[in-house]
Amino acid sequence: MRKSLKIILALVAFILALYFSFYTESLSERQLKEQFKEFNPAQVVDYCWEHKLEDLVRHAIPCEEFFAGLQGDAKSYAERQGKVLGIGSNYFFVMQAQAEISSVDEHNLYLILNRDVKATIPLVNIFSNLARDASAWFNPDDFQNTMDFNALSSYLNKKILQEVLAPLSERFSSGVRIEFVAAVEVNINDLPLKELVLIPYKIKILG
Amino acid sequence: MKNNFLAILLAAVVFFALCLGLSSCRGGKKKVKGKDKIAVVISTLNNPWFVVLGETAKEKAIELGYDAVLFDSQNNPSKETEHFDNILSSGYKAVLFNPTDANGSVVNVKAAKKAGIPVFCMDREINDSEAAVSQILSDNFSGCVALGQYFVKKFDGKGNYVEILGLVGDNNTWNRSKGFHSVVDNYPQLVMLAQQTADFDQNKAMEVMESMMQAHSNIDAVFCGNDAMAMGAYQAILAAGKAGRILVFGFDGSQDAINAIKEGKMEATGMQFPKTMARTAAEFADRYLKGDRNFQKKVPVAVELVTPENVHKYGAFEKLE
Repeated sequence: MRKSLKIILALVAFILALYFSFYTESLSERQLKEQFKEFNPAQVVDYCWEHKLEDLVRHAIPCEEFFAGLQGDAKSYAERQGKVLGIGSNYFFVMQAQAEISSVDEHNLYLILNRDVKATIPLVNIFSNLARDASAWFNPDDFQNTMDFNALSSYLNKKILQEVLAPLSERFSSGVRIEFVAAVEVNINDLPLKELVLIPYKIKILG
Repeated sequence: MKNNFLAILLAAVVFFALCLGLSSCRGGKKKVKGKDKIAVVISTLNNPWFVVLGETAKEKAIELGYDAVLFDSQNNPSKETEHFDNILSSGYKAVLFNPTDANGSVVNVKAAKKAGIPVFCMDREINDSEAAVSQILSDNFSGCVALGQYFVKKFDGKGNYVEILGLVGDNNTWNRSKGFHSVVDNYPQLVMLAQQTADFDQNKAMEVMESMMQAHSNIDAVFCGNDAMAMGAYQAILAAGKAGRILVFGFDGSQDAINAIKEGKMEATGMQFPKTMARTAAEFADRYLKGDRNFQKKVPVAVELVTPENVHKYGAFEKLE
């Protein structure tokens, strides 16, 4: 009996030791972490763009739902559907919509959403971390310092200008209908919405 | 019979004495050894922003039931190391830390970690993502992107400016500068005439601004990496008779800056929230000491742009309710 108990205890100890010696993670997550080890913002952003953009687009919030949600209990809606980086009142969303271009100038494209909300899509310069933070592709914990983390935005913003907006820029004009999936930032202490800046991950001109 | 009775009595006395001793050790509100201690180490207390950070952290730690002691590193990495040596040998349970140098301070945090003392960085980060339990930092880059956009709008994309930087060893200096330049550098008619550090110090900034104005007679604006330097720059501008001609931009959200914006002496600042950072750090330390180990390594705190249009919503280092 004593011998059996010893064998059982030894087996349990062995199984526990084995369990804590290994862990599993998906290959794609591992590959992503390997990208981050030697920091190259272009590589990191390109990887996410290639492997995660489709999923981001698929889960974009329809425009009507977005505006309806913010008209109700905006804070609860933002906490459920939006993303926030750290501590603050600004929430990031990825929204999908169709709209008619109301006007275009050399810097921006202008739209009206939800009947009365003015929206702007920048065509020449994209600033801020909006596209990065709304995507939720990047966790600040994975970067040695915030300068590296901010470098992602610079590259992502440039990529959006060059690959999403530039190819269509000559076709943007007043009256043209577009469909887009875009990052948008909302300060829940600054409602109702009057103006939005949209940074598109995907945009197409409708017939 | 008598001996038996005495033996039983002695045993009973010993038993009750043991019970009393055990019950005093079992807990209850009164600790025999006193409260746990938390150290609050601040880069410098010669700047009101850091005084608010340090005092708030200390107050919150005390409110949570700890003894808290404030240490001033006087912007000196060696002084900071001395403090850590003291902290590690004096029974402190946690450190709420505002580093002097993003690289130089790493060794102190690692030493604390090795000694089993958790460190929570406030406002300034260290260039090591594993040493501290958590780093609660202002989103300086985004704050200065917003400031840069306001700057461009103010000048309609044309003008000459100078930049006064903070401490070069502080990542905040470069996050703010890069955020600002990420916008402004896209406007070739906005020309930076000079860029120099004044170490976040008001007096140094005054001297730097004086020499910049001597070298360049056509400055339209100055962007300063913090409000203390903005105040110094403004003093120099005022003394030179150029108040109103050279526009001043700062960062922090100090009382001086808020007043200066209200009075038309300054154009804008980025409001940081040192009280939020300090309280969060103290709360994290408390959670850690109670057994929680689930912390985000980096916790950005949003920065808000303060301009003449919205300055009424803000007080020193905080938004008014």
